[in-house]
Amino acid sequence: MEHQKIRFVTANYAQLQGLRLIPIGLFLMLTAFDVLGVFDRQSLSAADRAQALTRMGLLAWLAIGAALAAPVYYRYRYGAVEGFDRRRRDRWITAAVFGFFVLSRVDRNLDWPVSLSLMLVSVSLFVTALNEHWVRPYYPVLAAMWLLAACWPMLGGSPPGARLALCGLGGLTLVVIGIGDHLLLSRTLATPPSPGDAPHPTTL
Amino acid sequence: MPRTRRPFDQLTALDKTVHEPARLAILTALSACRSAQFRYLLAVTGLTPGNLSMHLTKLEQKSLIKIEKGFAGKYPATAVHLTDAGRDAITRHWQQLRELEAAAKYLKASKA
Repeated sequence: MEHQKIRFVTANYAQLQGLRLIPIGLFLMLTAFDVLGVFDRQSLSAADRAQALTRMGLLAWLAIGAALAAPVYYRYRYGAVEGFDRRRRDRWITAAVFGFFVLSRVDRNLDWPVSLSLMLVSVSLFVTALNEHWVRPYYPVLAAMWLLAACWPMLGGSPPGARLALCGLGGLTLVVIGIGDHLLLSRTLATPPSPGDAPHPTTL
Repeated sequence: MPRTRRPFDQLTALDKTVHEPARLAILTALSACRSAQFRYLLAVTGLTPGNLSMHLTKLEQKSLIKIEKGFAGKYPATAVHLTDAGRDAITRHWQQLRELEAAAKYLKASKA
């Protein structure tokens, strides 16, 4: 099992750098609160509204900056790994994202008690967990959360809009995956001595 | 009784260079990527730099890995990757371990 974990962590080292996802996830969740009207932007004056929008823009840049800085932290702490070509997996992710937007349009046109777009996210998360032999136990939990959201109208709730679902649930998903991946990486890898203490290559 | 002797035969046929736990962890990690830095191997194995250095030297002597020395800024950044022979060796080793596990399970089931 330990060797399976070593293989998984090494093969997915770049993807498991969870601190990249947390700031983006938090920003998306903040946007969801905005969509819900928590910040009550309508009651603000035009100048204050512009200021609030600038603040959101600044936060977006901060989140992107933090996400870009995270790999530097991991490289400094655990070193670098050059992985294999992941084009096939990237194609699947692109197809799933594209499928989400197509199905959310279908959801809007059809008045079904089940959201197909949210169902797609749930299935994608579940298939990923299955494919990875349940190494990341939080994936099925997130898949169940998206399934619940997809069936929410069937259970008597009002259907969440695509934007709210994408921002709120998407943000929460990114935060959970980010924390989980970071913990998986930091629990599997020991912290080596600082780079200055590493032996000079001539000693190898 | 060839079936009862088989696991032992398989056990003795294991490559000791590969089977040593630290080296097995190194080779397993390297089999999942193109190359890994010395620092990453320290993190994944939990070995001390001196110990890891010694194991890498042994693996390099057997031509299972290739070590490329360089610098990232002022720090040494040594990259390690499997050779074709190393990739074959680790694949074969895991296959042997799987067969051994299957044979042991068969033995246990036949005794019960």
